[in-house]
Amino acid sequence: MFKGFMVRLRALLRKKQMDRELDEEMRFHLEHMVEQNIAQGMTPEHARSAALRDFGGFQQAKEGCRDARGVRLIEQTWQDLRYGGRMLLKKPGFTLIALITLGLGIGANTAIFSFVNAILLRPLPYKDAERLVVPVSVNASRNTDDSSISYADYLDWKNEGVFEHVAAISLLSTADLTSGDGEPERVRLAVVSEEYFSVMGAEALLGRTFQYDDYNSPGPPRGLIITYGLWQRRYGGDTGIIGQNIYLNGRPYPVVGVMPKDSLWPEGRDILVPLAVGAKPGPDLLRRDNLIFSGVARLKPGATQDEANAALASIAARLEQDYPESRKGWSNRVVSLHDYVVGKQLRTSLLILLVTVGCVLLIACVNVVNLLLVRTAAREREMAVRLALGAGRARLIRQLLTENLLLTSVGGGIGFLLAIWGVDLLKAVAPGDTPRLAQVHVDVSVLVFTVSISLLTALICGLIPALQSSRTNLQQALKETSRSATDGARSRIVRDVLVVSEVALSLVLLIAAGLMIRSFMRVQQIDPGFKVDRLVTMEVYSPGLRYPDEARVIAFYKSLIDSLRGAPGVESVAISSALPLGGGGFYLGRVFLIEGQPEPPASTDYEAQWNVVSPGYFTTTGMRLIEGRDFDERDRADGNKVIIINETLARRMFPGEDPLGKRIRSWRDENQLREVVGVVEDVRYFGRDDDLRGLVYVPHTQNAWRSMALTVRTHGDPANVMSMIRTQIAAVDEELAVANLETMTTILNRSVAQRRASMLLLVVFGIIAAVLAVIGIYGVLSYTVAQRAQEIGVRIALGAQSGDVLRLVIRQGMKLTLAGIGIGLGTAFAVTRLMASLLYGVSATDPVTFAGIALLLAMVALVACYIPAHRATKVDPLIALRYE
Amino acid sequence: MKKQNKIDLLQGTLELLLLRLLQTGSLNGWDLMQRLQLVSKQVLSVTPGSLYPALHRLEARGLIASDWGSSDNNRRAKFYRLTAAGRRQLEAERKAWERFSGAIDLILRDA
Repeated sequence: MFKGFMVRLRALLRKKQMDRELDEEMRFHLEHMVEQNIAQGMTPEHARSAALRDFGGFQQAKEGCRDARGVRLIEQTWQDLRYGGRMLLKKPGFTLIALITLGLGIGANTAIFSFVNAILLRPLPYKDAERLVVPVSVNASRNTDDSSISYADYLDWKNEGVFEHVAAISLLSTADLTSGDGEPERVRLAVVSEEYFSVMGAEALLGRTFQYDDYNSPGPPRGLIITYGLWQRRYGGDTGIIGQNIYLNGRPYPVVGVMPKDSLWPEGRDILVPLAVGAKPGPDLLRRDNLIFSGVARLKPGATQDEANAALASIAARLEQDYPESRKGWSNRVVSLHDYVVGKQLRTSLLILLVTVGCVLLIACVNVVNLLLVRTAAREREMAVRLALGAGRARLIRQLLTENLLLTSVGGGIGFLLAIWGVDLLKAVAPGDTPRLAQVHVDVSVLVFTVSISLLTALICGLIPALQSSRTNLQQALKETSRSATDGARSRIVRDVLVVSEVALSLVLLIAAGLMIRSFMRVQQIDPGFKVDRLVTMEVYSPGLRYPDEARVIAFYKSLIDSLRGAPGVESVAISSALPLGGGGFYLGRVFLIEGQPEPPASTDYEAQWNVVSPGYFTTTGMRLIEGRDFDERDRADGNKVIIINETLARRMFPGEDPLGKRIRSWRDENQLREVVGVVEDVRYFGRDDDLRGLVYVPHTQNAWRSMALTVRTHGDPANVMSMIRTQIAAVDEELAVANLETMTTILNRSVAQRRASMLLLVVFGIIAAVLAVIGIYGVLSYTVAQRAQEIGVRIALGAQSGDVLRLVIRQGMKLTLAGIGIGLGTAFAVTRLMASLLYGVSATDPVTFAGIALLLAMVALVACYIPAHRATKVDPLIALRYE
Repeated sequence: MKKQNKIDLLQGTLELLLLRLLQTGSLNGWDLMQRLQLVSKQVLSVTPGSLYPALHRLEARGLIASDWGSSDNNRRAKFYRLTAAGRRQLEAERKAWERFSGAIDLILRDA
């Protein structure tokens, strides 16, 4: 068989030589036949003609031999490719437009697919990650369906064996790390319960994971585990780290293990601490309404999420019966870890983007099909001649498809390169906290995707023109007249339908983009409730080792504020337990009761976020005191307990009354009556587009939290002051870690980052789609003008003015445009409600946006119509009439 | 050339015959055609239009190989010979043919 292969290979590579040999072989035979005839007595000429006749077709025999070599298909395809390449180079204008169009369409799809692939499709990097789920708390009346769980929940599930393994993790803790390379650093801890490592299926890279004793010995942890990132960052990957001490909040702890890269969820934690609850967990820990843990579990082999959901729901129902005050309305379910990590909003956004670029590609295909239809109409003669010479229809179609494949392959290649650049760009502008962003790459699966859609595009774009041209009416095509007969009704309808559909599609995309722009602008108009500029924020923690009691914590923060206040460039300083706009700190929600109200609270209207602040916080941030006073020296630790509430809470708790002087308490937590001494204006708490919610403020002297955020208003540019602030803090306490040092402006931008990213992408793709659609209109009109040149010439000769000709052409173009816009408006009306969750302050069927975008597209299309129309007026009637 | 009693050969059968004819030595196309007529006592003949494609097909399958040499009248001609694979194929097909024609015989005789 090898021999045969060599023969075929030679047939491919040495075609000319093989043909020469074939010719020689045939001639040899022919000469013999001639000689034989002469020997039988014929004349030389007679002998030759008799031999040729008896030979049975000289050329056919050669063709038969060429066929027999078995490389026909390859030869023909290669021939088609070279021919196609020549054709493309001959018409550079057409080729360039087609390549750009295809490049944009395929490139956009490839880029977005990279994201979809990395974020939605690729499984998480943990062992058997499809079996990992996150059990969450659900409460319909509070509109939560993915909230944290309580420790008691974890115990219940563990004891009832709902999962193969289940673990509870506390993610609330941070600590200051002072050992290792670099300044003191605020690190994030994960306090993990027994079985955590079994759930994750993770083993230590160095050392060991936590054992029974780690979880069950009394006292401080016997050892800690550090993660790969921290190990590289601060300890230089030192393999001798096992057994060494690291210093957290001033206290030493030995390192007993190092975890490998990408082996644990949640990612981004630096140090793991065993949850050493011991035999008797404290009452606070066991409270069923203390939802401070994250859960993660591994399903039993063969079990489904539905089965787990059913088990959790029945346990929850029982708990509702047994513990009504804490469990009423609450249930539990599981979410797959993948879904939990990605989140609903990101999934929706990505899918919408995928559909969007799919539409852009469709529009690009429509344009290319139209371009091809025009070109094949011009090649009609060529096709007719081939058909007449005996080429089968299948052969012609194969040739045209091959040429299209060449076009889309090159276009796909361009698109792939564009996508590589595009993905890098997108990664840079995407919100930094987008899950799995670092794992987005253009890799082999993306390449496979690109190749697949290139092939699909070739098929879509090539099939219609190929079928069209092979159906050529031979007789008409071979006539001398070059007035193309395929400009018949059928092909014109096809072209018109295509243009109308691409206008409609691009309108839908533009409207979607327009809605996003309006949403974004609305969000940008939201008043955050305070003055954002020249504000620097950071977080610090006063560790128990150096500040063992409340008095010292209070004194520490006071001295910190005082020393910063006197520093150059600083206008004012304050501390707060949490920052507005979701800027960081410790967020705590509590439910409140007015003095005299019975327990439990009747509704959740008196829910508010708890903030601990220093006097001067409101002036520093620029929040207006509407009534009453700010905190001051009167509000000491042993003095009257006071509280300041915001407008929203005041309106809810004391409608129509004056809240000053009234007393409220946080139910069950703290549960101490505090007198309302002031009402402050609302701020946007969790983000710029957050709803207005109840907020309360208590003085730090009366609630001395260790972990606080510092807010500094500067005189000039905050950037100049930031390093000075670090120095000042180090002067007060050199072992203090300063975390998340940034400006409030950064925080503000971050809170709308995802919205901005989605908007920018939709706008870019919408514009690309519209440009392509308008090019489509222009192309069709140009072609029509060329086709009807004779008719226009006649009209001008008969007295038509420029205006009449203009109107003629433009009317045709605008008919298509308006039809497309009409269909597009209808489609958009039906379809935009799917993106309603992404909008803010704008309805999915906002008439202003719809009308505005439609008008804009119509005007641009009008300009595109004008250019060929103008050309039509320049038709010289004499030339047109003579043109045959 | 006499045209009576010539039976058109099916493609596969022709290839079998060519392999057999080449078993005894290498021949060029013209010789093969003459030999076929001769050995079959003028019953079978084949046109160049069928012969040469069949030869090229066999060569593409690796069953015969070709070399250029000089013919009896000192002209350049392409000579074909059996390869080892060709020999094996010949045996296999000969057996298959015998089975086939034996079955036809049986039916024609006794059915």
